[in-house]
Amino acid sequence: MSDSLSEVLSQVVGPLIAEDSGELFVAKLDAKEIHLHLRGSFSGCPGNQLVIQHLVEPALRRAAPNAVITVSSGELIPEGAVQWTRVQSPSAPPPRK
Amino acid sequence: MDTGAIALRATAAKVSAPVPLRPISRPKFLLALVTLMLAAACGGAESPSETPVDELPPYTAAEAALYNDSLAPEIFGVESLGKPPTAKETFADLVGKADSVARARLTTVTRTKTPIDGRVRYVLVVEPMGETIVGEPLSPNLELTVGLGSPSLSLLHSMDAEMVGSKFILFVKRYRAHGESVLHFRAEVDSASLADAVRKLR
Repeated sequence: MSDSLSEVLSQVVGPLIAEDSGELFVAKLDAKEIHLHLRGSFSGCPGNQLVIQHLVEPALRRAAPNAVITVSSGELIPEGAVQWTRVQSPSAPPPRK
Repeated sequence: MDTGAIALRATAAKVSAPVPLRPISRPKFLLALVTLMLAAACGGAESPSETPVDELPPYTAAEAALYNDSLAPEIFGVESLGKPPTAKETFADLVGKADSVARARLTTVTRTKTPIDGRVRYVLVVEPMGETIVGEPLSPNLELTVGLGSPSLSLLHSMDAEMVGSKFILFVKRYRAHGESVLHFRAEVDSASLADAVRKLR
């Protein structure tokens, strides 16, 4: 897993999702393919596509310019996905795997 | 000479050809025959979803007009200016050709963006709800692909995961494309009147 991608997830994507009471799962994270899965209240939030398309994807794209980026939302968690952030209190640090 | 006579003569010629079964004893031959008949009977019982790819219809332009991998705009909460589904000229065809028509709920939306051309593709995972309206039961966690050609792509792009939990009536059909079985669909707003109209047509 690339350090720069992990950094983007920990410092940008994870906090954004957690702030909106969402849960972030990472199914794939490398320079060629990134697959994130969202669950919780964030996944059905009317504004989340703006966050994904205008904040999350550009941030990931900067770290992995050639990656195919997949973001799924909903109840079915992709096989082998690792939970990156969970619903938590704002003071708790995001869990790392 | 008619073709029927030719066919009969060809059959007769085959029958009178040297018999390769002669070395096999009569009971063994009968046993083999019964086994073959049983195997053929079992093979014919396969469900439509297991239809060999070669037997599936091709996904022609006419079929693509029926099963265009789209969701009715009303499912997105957008008012449609078009006719209701039951009033469309294509409705009977849509129902008549469906492998399955069933109520379904959208459980997962997956959005994939490629880096070079920035093209976006969606995969929707749906779960069947209640009894199938007509046709074979939908498989659980059925994946529907919404690609570049879909009229719903722009609406999905703007609504995205907001659509999770949406319920609709789903019409699905398998086609043959590039030697593979490909599922195409159309989703309409769930209503009792639509379900009734579908049942009446089948």
